[in-house]
Amino acid sequence: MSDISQSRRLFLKALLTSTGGLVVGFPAARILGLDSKTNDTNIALGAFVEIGTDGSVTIVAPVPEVGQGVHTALPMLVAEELGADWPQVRVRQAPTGSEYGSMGVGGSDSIRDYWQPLRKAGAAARDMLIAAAAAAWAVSPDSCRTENGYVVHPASGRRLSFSALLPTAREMHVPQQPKLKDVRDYALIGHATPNVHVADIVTGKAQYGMDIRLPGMLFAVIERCPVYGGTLKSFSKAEALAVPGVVNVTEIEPLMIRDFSYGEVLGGVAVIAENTWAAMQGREALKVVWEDGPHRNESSSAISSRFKDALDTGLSHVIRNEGSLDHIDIDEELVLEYDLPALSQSPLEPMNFTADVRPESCEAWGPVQVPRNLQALLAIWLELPVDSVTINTTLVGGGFGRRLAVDYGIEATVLSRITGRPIQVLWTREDDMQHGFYRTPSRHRVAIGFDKKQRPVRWRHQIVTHPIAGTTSEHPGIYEVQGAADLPYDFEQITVQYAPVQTGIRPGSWRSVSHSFNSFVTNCAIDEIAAYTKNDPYELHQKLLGEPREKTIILPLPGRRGKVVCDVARLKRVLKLCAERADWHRPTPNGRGKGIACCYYKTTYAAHVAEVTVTDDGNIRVTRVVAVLDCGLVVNPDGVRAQIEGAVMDGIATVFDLEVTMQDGQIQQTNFDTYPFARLADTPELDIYLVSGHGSPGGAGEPPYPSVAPAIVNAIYDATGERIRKLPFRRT
Amino acid sequence: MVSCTINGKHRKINADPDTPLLWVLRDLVGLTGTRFGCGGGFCGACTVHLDGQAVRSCITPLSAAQDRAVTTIEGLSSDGTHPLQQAWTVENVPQCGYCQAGQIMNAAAFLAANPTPTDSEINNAMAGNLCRCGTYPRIRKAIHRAMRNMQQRESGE
Repeated sequence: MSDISQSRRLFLKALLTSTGGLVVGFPAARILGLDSKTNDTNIALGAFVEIGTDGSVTIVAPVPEVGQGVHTALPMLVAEELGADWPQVRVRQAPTGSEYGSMGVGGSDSIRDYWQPLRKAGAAARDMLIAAAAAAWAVSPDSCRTENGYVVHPASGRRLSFSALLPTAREMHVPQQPKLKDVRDYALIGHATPNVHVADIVTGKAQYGMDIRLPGMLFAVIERCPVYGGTLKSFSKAEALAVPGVVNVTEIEPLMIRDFSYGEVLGGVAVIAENTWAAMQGREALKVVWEDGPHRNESSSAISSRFKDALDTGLSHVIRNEGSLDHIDIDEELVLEYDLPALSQSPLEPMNFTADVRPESCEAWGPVQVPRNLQALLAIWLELPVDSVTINTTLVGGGFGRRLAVDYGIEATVLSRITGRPIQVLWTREDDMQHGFYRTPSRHRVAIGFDKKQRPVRWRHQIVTHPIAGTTSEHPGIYEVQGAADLPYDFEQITVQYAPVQTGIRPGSWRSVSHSFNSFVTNCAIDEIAAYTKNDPYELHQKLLGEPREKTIILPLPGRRGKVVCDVARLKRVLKLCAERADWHRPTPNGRGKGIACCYYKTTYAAHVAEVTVTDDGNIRVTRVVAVLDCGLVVNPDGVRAQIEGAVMDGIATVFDLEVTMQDGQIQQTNFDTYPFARLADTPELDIYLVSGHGSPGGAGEPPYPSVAPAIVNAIYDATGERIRKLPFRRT
Repeated sequence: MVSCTINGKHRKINADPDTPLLWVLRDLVGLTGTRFGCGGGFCGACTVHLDGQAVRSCITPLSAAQDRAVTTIEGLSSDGTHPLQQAWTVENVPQCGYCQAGQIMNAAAFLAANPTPTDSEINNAMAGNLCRCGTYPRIRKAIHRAMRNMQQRESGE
C-alpha cells in the first residue's frame, strides 16, 4: 500500500508543479535500464535499444510524436552513439514506464531533456556489444568501434553484427557512464533525416488512436452541455436506444481528479454503440435537458469589457519592476492597447481514446502529449497501482497543447469501467471546437515613456488573461507573462503587471503559451516606437537589446520561471541574419511592406521578416517570410525546418483568420468553416536559415511561432500605414 | 445492400445506405487509412475516389458507391509506389501525418484529370485539404515533383 501512496504522491507533486504536468528530471541510471527485457525475437539492451535476432535494431522513443519530429530526432541520438545502420532502424513508442523519464511533450523540451540520457543509452548498448566482440576476439575494447550495425576491429578487419553478438552482449555489465562521441565524429546527428513514419503515413498504414481495434470493443460519443460549467438536468434514453447498433446510453458525471484542471471531464450523456456512426446517430436522437450554469450569459464582448476594467483597476500582480527614472523626466508617452482573441488548438485528429478496464489493471491507447499524467490520474481514480495502468500512445495527429489535457482518456476509462467492455471515445470536430481548453483571450496596455530626446526610457506592459493556473492560485500569472516579463530590452524602467480575470472560456496551453500573445504585443509595440521616433524598426530592436551579454531576469515566480536567461548576443545575431537575408534596407515599392520581429523561448532564438503585398482587390497577401532560428546544436535540420515552415502557416492564420468567441455561454465556432486555418494558397515564399549551433540542442516546436504574426502585422503597417492592435485582421 | 468494388475487390455491403462512406470503410470494411477530421466536408482528410473522382467520404453516403469503384489510400498503389507517394517521401512532407492520406488522394485524382496544372489550379484543387501542421510548402513541392515524374513516365523516359 505504501508503494502505491508514495508513487501517487510523486505523480501528484509532478502534476501540480508544471504546466500540463511535465515531470522534470529523472535519474539517469534508470534510463539505461538495469535489466534486459526479452521477448522471443527482440533483446533489450537497456530501456531504449532492442536488437532482433534478425539483426533489426528497434529504438524505443520515450515521448509521443505529435508532428514535431521527435520520433526521428530522439532515436537519432541513440543510433549515433550505438553505431546503428540508420536506414534499418525501426522506431516504436514506449509504453508508460518510469524508465523512460517524463515522457511528456509540451514545452519544446524533449530534445534538451533527452539529449544526454539518450546518447548515454546508445553508448551503453554500444559498449556492451563492443565488450562482447572484444571478448570473442581477445582484443581490447578500445581497439573496436561500431559502424552501421557492426562492431569492427579496424586493425584486423574483423567485424561481427549486432545480432551475432547479442547472446553475449546482453550478459555484459551495463556501463553507467559510457563515453560519448565527439560532435566532430557525428555521422547522423546534424544531418537532414526523413521522418521515420513517412512510409506508413503515405500508404495509410500509420496507426492513429481511432484505428485501435480490440475484441468486444464498443464506440462512444458524448453529448456535453453547450455551456461550460452547465449540468445535466434530465435525459431520455429510449430514442437513442432505438437506433440500430446502439447498446447503451449512460450518464457520465463531471469529474476532476485531485483538482488537476487538465483532466477535467465535463460530463454529459454517453451513447455507446457497435460502431462509430451508430453512436453518432444515437446521440442525434438523444433528448437532453441541461441546467446551463453560471456561465450562461458569458460573451466575448463581456469578457473584453471586464478585461478592460481590470487593466484599470485589477492589476494586482507586479511581475517585474526594475530600474528607476531618477533625473529623467517623461516628456511624452505612447499608450497602446491590444485585444487578442481566444484560440483553439484544433489538431486535425479529433480527441479520442480507447480504454480497457479490468478488475486489476487498465490498458488504454490513444493520442496524448503526457501519457504518464494520464496514467497517474487513472491509477488514482481506479485505485490501482500505477504500474497496473498502461498507456500506449499512438501516433498523435497534432498536439499544439490541447493534448496536455487528458480528459478524453479519462472519459474512455470511466465508460469502460461502467460497461465492462473496451470503449473507444470519439469527439467530433464540433465537440473539439466547443469543449476545448482554449488559449485565453487577452488585453494588453503598453505605455512607453520618452525623455526630452525622444528616447524610450520607460516601458510598462499590463496584461489581463484568464489564467491557466486559476484565478485563486498563489501565482496566477505563472504561465501568463512569459514573453513580457522576461523582456530583454534596455529601458531605464520596466514594469510588467498582471491581472487574472475569470471567464466562461476554459483556459489551456496553445503553442508557445503566453509567448503567443505577449511576443505579439511587445514586437508590435517596439515597431510603433520606431515609427513614433522615426527610427528603423530593425535598428531600434538592436539598439534596445544593447550590448551582447547574458541577461538574467529574476521574476517573483516559482521554479525555473523565476529565473530567465536571455543570451542577448544570440538574439541580436538572429535579428541581424534575418534582416540581411531579407535585404531589410532595400526600399519597398508601393503596395508592399516589410515587418520584423524576434523572440526568445527558453534557449532558442528566432527572428522573422515578413513581406506583404496589397493585391489589386485591396486584399493583403503574405508573399515572403524570412525566418532565422538558433536552437543551439541542430540534431535534424530538416525536422527543424519543417517546424519553422509550419509555424509560418500558423502565424498567417493567427493574423487573418483565427478567433474563438463566446455568446450566451456557448462557443460560436463549430467546425473548420467557422474556424479556418491556412490553406495551400496562403503559402508564401519561404527563406529559412538555421544558425549552426554548438553545445546542446534547444527546442524548435514552439520557438519559431511567436515572431511570425507580429512581423506580418508590422509589414501591413509598412504597406498601408494601418496599425493592427486587434486580431484577427479580416481580409476583405 | 450496396454493391461496389473497394480497391479492386468486389464487395456487398449490408448497411443503411445513408451511412457515410467514411464509416463504412473504417468500421465495417476495416480500412482505417481514410481519416476522420471534421465530418462536414471541410478538411479533406477523408478523401477517397469514386470511379477516380475525389469525394469527401464523410459526407458521401454509401448509396453513392452503388456499382462504382471506391479507391482508398490503401488501394492507391499496391506498394506505396504511386508517384505522389514517392514524391511525398522524397520531399519528407508529413509532420503529424493525419491529413496526408487525404492530401495524396485529392492530388491523385486531380493530377489524373489535369496532369499539367498551373499553380493557381493546384491551389484551387487542394483548397479543401487542410493541414494543421502547415506542411503546405512541401505539399506543393511534392505535387510538382510527382507531376514531373508522371510526365516522364507518360513520355516513356
